[in-house]
Amino acid sequence: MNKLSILIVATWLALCIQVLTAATVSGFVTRVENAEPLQYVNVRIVETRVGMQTNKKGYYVLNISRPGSYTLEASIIGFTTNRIPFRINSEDENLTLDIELEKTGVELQRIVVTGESEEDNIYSSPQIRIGTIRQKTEDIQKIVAVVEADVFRSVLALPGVTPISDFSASLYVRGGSPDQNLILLDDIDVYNPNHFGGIFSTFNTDAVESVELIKGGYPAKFGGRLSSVLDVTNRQGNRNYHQGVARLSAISSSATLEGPWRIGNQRGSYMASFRRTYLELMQQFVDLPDYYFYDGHVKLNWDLDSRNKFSASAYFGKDALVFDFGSELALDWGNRTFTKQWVHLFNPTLFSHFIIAGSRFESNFTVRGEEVSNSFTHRNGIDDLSTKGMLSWKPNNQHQLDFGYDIKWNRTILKMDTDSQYDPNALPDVDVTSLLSAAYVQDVWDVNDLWTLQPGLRLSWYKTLTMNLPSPPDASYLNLEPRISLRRKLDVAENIYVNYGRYCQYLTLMSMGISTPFDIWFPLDGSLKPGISDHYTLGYKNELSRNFGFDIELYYKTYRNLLEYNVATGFTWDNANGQLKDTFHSGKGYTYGADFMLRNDWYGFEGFIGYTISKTQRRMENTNLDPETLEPRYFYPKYDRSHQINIIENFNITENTGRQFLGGDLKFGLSFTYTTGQPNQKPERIYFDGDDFQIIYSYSDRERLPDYMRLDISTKLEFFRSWGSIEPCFEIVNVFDRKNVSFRNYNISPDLETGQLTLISRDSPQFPFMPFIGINVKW
Amino acid sequence: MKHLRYLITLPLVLIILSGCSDFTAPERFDGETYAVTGLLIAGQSIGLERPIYVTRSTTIQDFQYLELFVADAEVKVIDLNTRAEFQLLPALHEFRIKYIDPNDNIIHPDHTYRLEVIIPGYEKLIWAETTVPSQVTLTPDFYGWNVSGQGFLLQNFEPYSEITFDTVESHYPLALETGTFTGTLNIFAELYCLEEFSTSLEFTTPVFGQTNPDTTMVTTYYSSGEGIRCIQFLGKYTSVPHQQPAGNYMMIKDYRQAFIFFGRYRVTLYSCDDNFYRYKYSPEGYFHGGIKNALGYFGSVSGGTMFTRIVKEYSTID
Repeated sequence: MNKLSILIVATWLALCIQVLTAATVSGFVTRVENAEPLQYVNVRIVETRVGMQTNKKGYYVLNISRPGSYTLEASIIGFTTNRIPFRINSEDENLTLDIELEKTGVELQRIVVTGESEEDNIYSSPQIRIGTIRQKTEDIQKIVAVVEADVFRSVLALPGVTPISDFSASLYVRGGSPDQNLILLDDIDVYNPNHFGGIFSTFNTDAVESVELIKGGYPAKFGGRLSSVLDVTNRQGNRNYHQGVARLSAISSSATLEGPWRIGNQRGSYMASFRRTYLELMQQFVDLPDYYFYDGHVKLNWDLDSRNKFSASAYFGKDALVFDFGSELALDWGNRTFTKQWVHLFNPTLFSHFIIAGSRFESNFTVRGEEVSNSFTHRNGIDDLSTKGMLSWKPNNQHQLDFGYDIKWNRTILKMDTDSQYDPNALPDVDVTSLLSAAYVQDVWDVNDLWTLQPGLRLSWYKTLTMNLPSPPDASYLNLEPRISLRRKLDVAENIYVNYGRYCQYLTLMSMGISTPFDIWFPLDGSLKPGISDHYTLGYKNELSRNFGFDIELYYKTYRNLLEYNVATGFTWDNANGQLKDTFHSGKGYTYGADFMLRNDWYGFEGFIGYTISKTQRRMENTNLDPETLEPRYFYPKYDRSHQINIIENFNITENTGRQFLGGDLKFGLSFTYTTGQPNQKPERIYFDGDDFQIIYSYSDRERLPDYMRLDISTKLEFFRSWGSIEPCFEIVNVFDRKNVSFRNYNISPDLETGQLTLISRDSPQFPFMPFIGINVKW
Repeated sequence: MKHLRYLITLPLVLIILSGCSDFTAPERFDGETYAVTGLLIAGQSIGLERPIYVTRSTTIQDFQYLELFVADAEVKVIDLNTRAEFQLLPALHEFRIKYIDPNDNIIHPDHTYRLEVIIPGYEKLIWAETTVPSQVTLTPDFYGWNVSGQGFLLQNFEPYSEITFDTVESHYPLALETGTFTGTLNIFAELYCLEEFSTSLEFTTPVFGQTNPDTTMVTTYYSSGEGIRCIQFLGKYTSVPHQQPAGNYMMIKDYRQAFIFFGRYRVTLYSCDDNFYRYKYSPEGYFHGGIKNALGYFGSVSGGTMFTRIVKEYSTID
């Protein structure tokens, strides 16, 4: 077996390096207006039709086998195509050509299609991107939003991503739960990225360059989660001039500043963004809890020379709530992250990206009673220190070899304390550290003009380092995670692909099912096995015309060693004898379905129509028991939605008719969502327990709540002035005031007149009809 | 090779067809389902106040009060420490069939009891076992204020004594005297408002500026189980030695938020066994109350019940 492995690797390497004596043309692609790098630009040599897409840092490299005169072409939707003639004089020449692209129709403020597919209008993209949807800042800000634009809310509008409630921005991606999403901000994990109890994500859209959602089948460089990757990149800041944006909405204000810096012959850029709510100011008029949140993004870039670029970024955010319910309850929670990045070109064909980063989530919860100063305190948090190296070697135009490492140290703390006579052994006192190391390699092999093969392998090794509790056994797990994709081009802009990938997860989330500040990330101990998921994807993409694009992806996922928090643990916690397996129900599950997306840019209507059909089931120990056998039974989890329709459309009236209103540009936006109702447990029988009549419940998915439907609209009027622009906006959420249901609770109530029992159901509402106004100022 | 695009058709059709199926579970319970509930109280017998109930669970639509209670079951309790057997007999009381011990055998702390129920026509033996917690004693006036008209009383009739909401925790903690025992106890506490619903009831802590309940809350108020009328809490508390008063006590000093309204309250404080504790804290506790071959629970407790009126200010000053 070992000899066979060596033979395979040797053959592969030989294929990769078969043409090493080629000239190269390489460089960075940036925007004209701010010199920020442009990701995923299609760059090709016109004469040879050889091409690639720029990476996340805007870098490209192409090999040229013969000297001669060529034309380099760079194109991406929303920007003018740039063609640059150049000459290669010898086979060992390495030519550097940086390219600048200008937005199309800048004077009309035209913006690209929302929810852009990664392979729009490309000639030759080596990477096979499974289930990938990328959104830029403009895309996110165009979607009609509650109060203000939000990263997670915009992602929730995409097919394959399920919203569980208007009050939660948690992402349920293709049958996966929120704990199975890897959420990265500048390449470092963000663990509980929610404000306001989950209503908003922690990211300020003005500070975000792009958001890339990979709904499954993700490449070998990502790991550690079972379902999806949400890769958020902070903006680098304008390298040409200083500029700013200020926003004022009903509950918050934000400001973003960016610009270039220069010290001597060194130069770079900066970006800083800050946002704060002021709900607490409304306490003068309405009896509200004392609540606020703030967050900030900062990024500094230093372009040392053409082969070295450094950047440092940080994020900080905090929510604070004080509430009097007889006792005073005080909560605060928040994330902090930092990332230091070094982009280095060893040579034009070997691009590298090294990262040292850290992340911390912590939450504190205190109850102060009348008698005791702090009658109860709860503190939990997770620290993350990571280092990553991501290298990309392009020995020839047929192969792109990506390889690297990822080392992550985690520490989880969960401590509760009380001045009451509560058993200290029954109050969690956990301090655990763990190490997750991984190495990966992936090749993108353009076998010929039609076929592309993308095999990859990730090796992950997880180990607990220290645990303050006596009973949990140490964990040490080693897993191979193979990934492979195959694509066949059917036409210039039509292809079909298949993918398989295995994914492992070593962290689990202690959560009540909805995102709260008390969600606790735990590294596995030896009593639990890591979660394993296998993804199978079959996809088809077709750019039907210049105005329409169409994608279908069919997927099937299996899950093993799934973990769900056992809510009864709060009453049985045992520091002395407990193990993590006492805290979680383990089980298995599967999901399958199809995502459809029809993108349009047609007579000024820009947007997409998405449809998802899916089925997700889980079987968890001690949950959803069969009353006869007391064995668990498969069930549809709360977030299962059989059918989901999303329509996002924007129409810029001024741009498309030439007519202005009140001297400003008028834009309309529309967002429509329909989903099948969520599964729910319903009363099946009653019994008498000595005190009351009690309900015996059905299986947890006996009924479906009413279907969910919501239409939101927005209108914006942008006035341009010499110093910038001012844009009042008006939005209506839930135009038809549909009474969508988030939860349904049942109670039995005796009828005082007849003595009969009445079953009462109580629906928790979702967002009602809500109008919002706001104003955006740019300079 | 362009026909490859049709590769996607077959699985797509299968997925779409599966989307036409019913995405809900079937009925969970089939035929007769029985529930047995019983709570033994240390120092008391199995009487009309705390009997054993054997009920036939019914759909809500088919609910017939008289058919709910099983009257012809054979119910037996065995003291596994002494091997004594108590044959329980059905008694009609307050329109309910209650299984009681006609011989008034006292339930002893630290003894293990086995319940066996045979229902004619039901082939399985329903059984459960519980070990009664050590004897504890409810201590209504832990600090010994001994002020007439103030504090908790053990009787449930007028005139009720009073405690101000602001001082209830500092002056009258919930306390159990545990004898020689020190260590961890499963504690169950219930605070039940004895007032009938009225919009003139007043919240002890205004909710978003609202000082009184509105009429929409009436059904919530009278709903079974926990709600705004009845707050329960559970936990593992410890009994430790105290100097003043001397003895071993379990004490809870942060509980006033459970008084939602001003008015009369019944406060129950129990040290309980694992069956009752598990029944109370588990989702779908009727599966976890220790009963085999039926739903419900068979648990045991030690402790008691006391009464007071929660007020803003004392009506009498001594």
